[in-house]
Amino acid sequence: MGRLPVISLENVTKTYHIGRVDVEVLKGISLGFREGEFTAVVGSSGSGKSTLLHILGCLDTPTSGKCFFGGDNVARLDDDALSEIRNRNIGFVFQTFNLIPHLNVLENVEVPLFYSGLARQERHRKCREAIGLVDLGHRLNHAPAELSGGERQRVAIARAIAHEPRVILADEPTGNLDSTTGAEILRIFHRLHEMRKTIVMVTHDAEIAAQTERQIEMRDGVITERSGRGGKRGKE
Amino acid sequence: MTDRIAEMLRLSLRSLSLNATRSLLTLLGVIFGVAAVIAMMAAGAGAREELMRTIGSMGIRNIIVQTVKPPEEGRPDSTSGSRRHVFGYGLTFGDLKQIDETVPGVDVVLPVQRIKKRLWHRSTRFEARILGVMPAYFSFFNMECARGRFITDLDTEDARRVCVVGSRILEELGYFDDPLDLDVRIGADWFRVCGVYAQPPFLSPTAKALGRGDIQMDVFVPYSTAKRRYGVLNIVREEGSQEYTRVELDQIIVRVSDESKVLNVAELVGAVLKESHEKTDYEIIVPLELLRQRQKTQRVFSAVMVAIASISLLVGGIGIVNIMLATVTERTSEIGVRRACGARKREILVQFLIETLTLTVLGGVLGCALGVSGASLMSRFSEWRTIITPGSLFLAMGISCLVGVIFGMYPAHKAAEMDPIEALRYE
Repeated sequence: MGRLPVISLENVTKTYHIGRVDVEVLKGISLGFREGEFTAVVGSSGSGKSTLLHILGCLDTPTSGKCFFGGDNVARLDDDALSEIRNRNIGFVFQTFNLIPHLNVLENVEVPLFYSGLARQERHRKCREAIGLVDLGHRLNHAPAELSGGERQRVAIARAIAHEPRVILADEPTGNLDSTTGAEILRIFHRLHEMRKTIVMVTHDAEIAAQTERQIEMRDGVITERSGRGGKRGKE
Repeated sequence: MTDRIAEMLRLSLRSLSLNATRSLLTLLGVIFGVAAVIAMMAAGAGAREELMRTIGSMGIRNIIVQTVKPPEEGRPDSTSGSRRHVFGYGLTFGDLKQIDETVPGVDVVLPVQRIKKRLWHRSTRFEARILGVMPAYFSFFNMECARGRFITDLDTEDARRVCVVGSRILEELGYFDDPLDLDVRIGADWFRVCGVYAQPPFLSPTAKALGRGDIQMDVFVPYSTAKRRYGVLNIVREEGSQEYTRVELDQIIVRVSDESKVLNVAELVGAVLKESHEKTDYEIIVPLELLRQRQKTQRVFSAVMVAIASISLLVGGIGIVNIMLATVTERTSEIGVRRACGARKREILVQFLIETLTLTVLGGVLGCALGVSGASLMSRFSEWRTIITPGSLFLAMGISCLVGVIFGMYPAHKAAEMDPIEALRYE
């Protein structure tokens, strides 16, 4: 298909120092995510999938190994540079939605655009577009507290896509929702996938993972299984 | 950039209004601190201005030498001696002449005679201080003429019976018509009012302290007239006895040619008088010296007030640190989200700094309002004069900004240095 990897990891390890004990959370991960790919990372809690997501999202840096974003190794960049990469290339969706309570829907979606230094009108145009995509155009001025769980997560998704990032990283996006609402949220992810967005979703729900293009299973800091339509091309 | 700052300002106003009561209570320290600075500076400026005016009215280039009664034991016993014993003391024409001729730097020397006499108009009367002065006296003391004229050379030459009074005296006499050409009786003689001097707007404690308080009750007559009419002999009646005193000169006003020479001249005048007087029956008042002393006191007073205001601001600042730390903790999740969305540490720092600044500037504005109203109340209900200068308002606003930056730095730094992953996980 000739799709280029947006992110690729080469032999990435991550070790946390907890007191005097070193805990190796990631033990040499090599992975690639291609443009337009919808990948699910499954694994039990403590398998290192969240840490993986943080490294992919440039919130954390690996202890060793390389992490390529586009063509650049970001493993050794400083905090400001990582912030800029996050701002341009990454959209996060969290399990707990993490909306800012005193901002309304529009303002919440505006947050990443705010840091990219766009003019106000341009920001609002992009926000409205993203909010329209998650069908919340009628809720622009509502506070998060006035929304249902599903609606909140949709706002969070709008926030993750408003600045047109190259990758959307979702950490258990349906974890706090009932199955109906969860399915609704998944439908939005599928729609984004159809729009050729690159999505990496961490979940412990095998059923949800099965709906995606590609699945990666993690156990104890290593990748134990790859499957799905594009899975075998994970590393080149 | 300005767009972003404006946005941040809007955001911080919003988040402050979420906890309006809490924010306001926190601000009290800053409000009172700023109000104290404003009020203190207003009182200081008022006192300074008043001081300048009071001392200015005494003439910065003047040295006032005046006769004082020497202490009891120094004088011959007046009760056991002959009833006609005349007790002479004080300044003499010789002194005047000597100062004029020997002390360098002296411009003019003026004699002044000062007598207490009854002032009559019809049946109203009261004790007034009659000052026999030379025409130059009025300009030396920066007095202003409200009506008519001051005493002239011709008045002095002819020893005319004219006088210059103040409006307070006229009030006291119960006379409200045109004061010019009014005849009043001083002691046994009739005098015609030829002029009315302008009264100082109100009496200041400083003026009282410098013995200029009763200027309002002074009646000025030509020196020659006073000398001719009342002479140098004074009779003081005390319980059953009479005391005769002889004072040649009550005051000598020494006008110095240059302000920088005043202190030197004062010293020389002191030396000259010491030569010819055995007892210290005179005192030398140097307005310039008084001014300097007062200014020194003023500075000490200001320093104390600054210290008090600083303590209030410090306490207020600590309150602000406290509340901002709480805010940062409360909004940990928000910080995490912002960081994940690409906010740099610096941007988080600036956001919380702006929030603290908004808070303290608000405190500054409220403090200015409180300080200004406090100062105006102060001058309305006490004799303290206050002046609000634009400078003090700027200073107060500057201080509140400074407090915001200093005390906002730590919480903002804490917010910026938060680990984004930890922050996202919070709660």
